[in-house]
Amino acid sequence: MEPAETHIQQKAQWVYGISMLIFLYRFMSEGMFTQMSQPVLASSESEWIYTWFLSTGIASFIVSHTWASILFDLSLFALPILLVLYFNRWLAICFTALTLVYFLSFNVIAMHHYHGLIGVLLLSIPFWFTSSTKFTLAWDGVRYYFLYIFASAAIWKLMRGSVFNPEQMSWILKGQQLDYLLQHPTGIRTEILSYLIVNTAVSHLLLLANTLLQLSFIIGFFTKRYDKLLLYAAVLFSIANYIVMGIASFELLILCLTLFDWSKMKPSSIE
Amino acid sequence: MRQWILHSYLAKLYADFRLLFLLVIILIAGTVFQALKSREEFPLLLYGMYSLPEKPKSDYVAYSIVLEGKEVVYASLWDAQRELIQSPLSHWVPLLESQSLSATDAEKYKAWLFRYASDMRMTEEYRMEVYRLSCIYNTAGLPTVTDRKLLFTYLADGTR
Repeated sequence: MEPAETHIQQKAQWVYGISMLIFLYRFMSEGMFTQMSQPVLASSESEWIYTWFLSTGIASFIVSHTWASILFDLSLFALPILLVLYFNRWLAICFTALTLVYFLSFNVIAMHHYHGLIGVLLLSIPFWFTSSTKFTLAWDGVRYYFLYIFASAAIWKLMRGSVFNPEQMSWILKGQQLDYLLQHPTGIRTEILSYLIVNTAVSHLLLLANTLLQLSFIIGFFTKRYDKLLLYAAVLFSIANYIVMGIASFELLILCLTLFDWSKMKPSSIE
Repeated sequence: MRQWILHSYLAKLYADFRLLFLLVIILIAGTVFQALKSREEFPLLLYGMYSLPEKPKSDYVAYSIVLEGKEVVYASLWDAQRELIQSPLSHWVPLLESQSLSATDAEKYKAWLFRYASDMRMTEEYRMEVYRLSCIYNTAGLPTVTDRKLLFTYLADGTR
């Protein structure tokens, strides 16, 4: 096997291995089609792609037929396992397509457009290509997209001026953590959250630090020298986001694979 | 500068992978266009991450689901469970209240919420109540409920 091919195979094992874990986590979270108890699909969608997707009837067919839900869920688990053991580009294309259907359906059912699975979706695309040059270029493209996610978040905060409002973070927390604070009036996390709500100077500092962290991803557009630091920054962001905002953005961390120095990774033994 | 442009990612894409180059250009142009309109449409995502300026509110609204007299504790739910319960609830309740839903759709949603909430707790439930809580924050940074309104009751046999 050519070194370039070994590298693609090695990346495939990581990407599909982590994807499998993500879907396993969704299964434990009762978020797979078979566990959704035949949900009601919203008839109104604001985005054209969701409106179009609803009109295809794919989502309603899957959720209303138990056999289709089981088959779909099993395929979402089986494909990454197959791809880890035996990499094949057609299977990779099938996996992207199924993930896209799941992503759109989940968002329609949840009536909110969550972006957590974007990482799995995007990272599965480079594996569509057999040429190592095209694979590398697509992989690098995903890396730039990952940088864009954070950089864009910082730029929007700066452009909209919200980062300069000392009360912004406190007001966000009041809305975001209302359910948690109502149901957990005591405890360490409650104390931290109520402290941040009352002490707007501290919560504002947190917002500024977060914006700075997100802004630091811009450097990745010019050099790969700090990718390791950016990887740590992404992990730090996810942990802080979970503790302070109660938002689980761990699924997006699969994109950290694009920040790895793969030249230092040992070739895997699985052929 | 010229050297930098020649060695840029887009230049490499243009040289070696024209199709992806075209897609990336469309993606960038589309995203910029959406950004100018401050509108987000998949796959042209903006990732504002709570960048919209917040406004002070005098009161906040929360929803409470009570199954067989026991309130569903959202923090004890897994992420997908929370996402599938909380977000649709905040969308469906205004529709239920405004009577803009057909009676069939309204019942379908209530029945599904009951089924999903009962299934995830893996217990056999017979009665579900959904409340709207109006809250204000006190000086200690904790919310207090000022009004608790029963929105609907759903019984396992489908009666109200």
